[in-house]
Amino acid sequence: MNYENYHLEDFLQDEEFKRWVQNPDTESEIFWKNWLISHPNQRETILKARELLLALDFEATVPDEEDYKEVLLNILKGEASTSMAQKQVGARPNYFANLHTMITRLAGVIIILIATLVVYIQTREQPAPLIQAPVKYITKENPRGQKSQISLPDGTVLWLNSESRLTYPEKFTARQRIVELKGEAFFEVAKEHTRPFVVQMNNLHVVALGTSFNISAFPEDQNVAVSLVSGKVLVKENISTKDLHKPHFEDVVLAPGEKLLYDLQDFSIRKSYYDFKSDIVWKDGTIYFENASFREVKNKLERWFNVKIILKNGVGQQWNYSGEFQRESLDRILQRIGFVEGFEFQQRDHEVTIIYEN
Amino acid sequence: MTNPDLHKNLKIEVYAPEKSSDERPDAFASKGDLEIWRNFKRGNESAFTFIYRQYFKKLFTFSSQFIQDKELIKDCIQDLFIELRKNRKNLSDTTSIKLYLFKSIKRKVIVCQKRLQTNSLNIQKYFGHDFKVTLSAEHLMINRQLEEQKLRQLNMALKKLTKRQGEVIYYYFYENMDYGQVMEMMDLKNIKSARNLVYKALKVLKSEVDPQ
Repeated sequence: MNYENYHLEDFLQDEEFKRWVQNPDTESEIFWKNWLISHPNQRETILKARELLLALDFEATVPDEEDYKEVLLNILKGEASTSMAQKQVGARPNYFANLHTMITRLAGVIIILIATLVVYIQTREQPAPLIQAPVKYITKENPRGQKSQISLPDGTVLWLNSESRLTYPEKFTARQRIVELKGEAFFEVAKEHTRPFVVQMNNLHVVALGTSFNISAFPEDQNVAVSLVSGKVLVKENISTKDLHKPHFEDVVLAPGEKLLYDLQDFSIRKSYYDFKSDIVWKDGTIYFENASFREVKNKLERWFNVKIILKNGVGQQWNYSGEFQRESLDRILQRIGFVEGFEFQQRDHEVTIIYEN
Repeated sequence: MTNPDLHKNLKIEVYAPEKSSDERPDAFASKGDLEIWRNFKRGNESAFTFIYRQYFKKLFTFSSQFIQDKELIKDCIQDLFIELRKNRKNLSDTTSIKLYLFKSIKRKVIVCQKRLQTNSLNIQKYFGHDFKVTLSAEHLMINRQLEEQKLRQLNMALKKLTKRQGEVIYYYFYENMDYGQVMEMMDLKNIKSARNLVYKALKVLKSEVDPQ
């Protein structure tokens, strides 16, 4: 193929190109990634064509888990009992017997008529919006000292840590479920084979189908960490023509138990294994330290209890603290750490001073 | 803060990570369509479940292009599968289950739509989404290759697409069918007509994104 002279629409019409964007396999990944490297002048066209292909979406009605189960059950029963022919055309006696559903349907019809009218009047008066189906976004944000559990419209449940923010659309589109995360959250993604769940962060995004995983992406930390508990996720770097100078990494697939660390300074990545206790138990209200330095302890407690921790003397102290606290007060935690590390402390409002008496 | 039940569920998942939730344990995942289909015809119920799970949502979303009402769509899909199961022994072979199901459901949905239109209750809820193409605002949060100005133009251009052009984009790009399958879905004479239809739909976009 003479892809060098291809324009945007030529790529879109090319079945091989389309196959790579929508159903990449090892061969097409190797071919196109290498082709991109050897033809930098076509990079922008290709990225644009790719983005267009991926962003194409349709207005649609999407079924939920209940629909899926209900239809399956009826099929297995083998009765075409609710078939539309009977419902709409044939006036069967037992249909009218159920007066309640009749009234509900009638009410539904009237509501839809009114809604249609309202929508018609509104759209007639307003100029066309930028995106055809304007999406409303919801933002949930926790200050220091607060954690929360959030249920998303698709049934996904997540625990949002302190000082973290999640933005998601009021309704996901037919093609994918995308949320934006700052800070830390543990996700239990509702299983949907055909609609990936994407967590978007500053530099990366994580693609999942139905899994549970933890993401820690605090801008002040050195790393973004993605820890996979079950299922499978794909970690992808956000590509943009603007940061071509930045080193890029290939997509990473994580297996259960694995953890990906993305360094925010040099953009390098490292795979390791997560520790369930230190990485994930936060969502159940447990604070866990393993060989933690003073800085780690300080950061975690500050976020957790909304306090500021100041070290008065003892700058050179090397902490190597391990311990586990289940729903305990800051006072109690500091007493226990202080016993091991040998310090006293004072708390005034939101400020804790740690004092070493040598 | 924590719901105790959820907590319990989570524990189970956490301690049995080897049972990964989205990997398909099916024996069918790696098999070709013809083999799966023949298994289904022979009465293999795992083959049926596999097919149902693979296509339920796709068929639903596709049907909603013709009729918006959820209950009616469910009825159509339900009837389709009941018929397939009843006549399974006599079904013809296929190398693309997707094409087979899409063609069947389209026929069914159109019959249903026509019947409703001749009915006195001809109201909005029986209209479909009519293959209206949009650019997913959500998706564009990720890559940001196209500037806002371009997007605005593109979305205007997409509105100019006819229903037929929208439909062709649905098969070719959204459902990732090849030209041969597009031809079958749209009852076209040959593959060349399918290519032409895709080309015409793209011309509308091209003039906005890449004017040269």
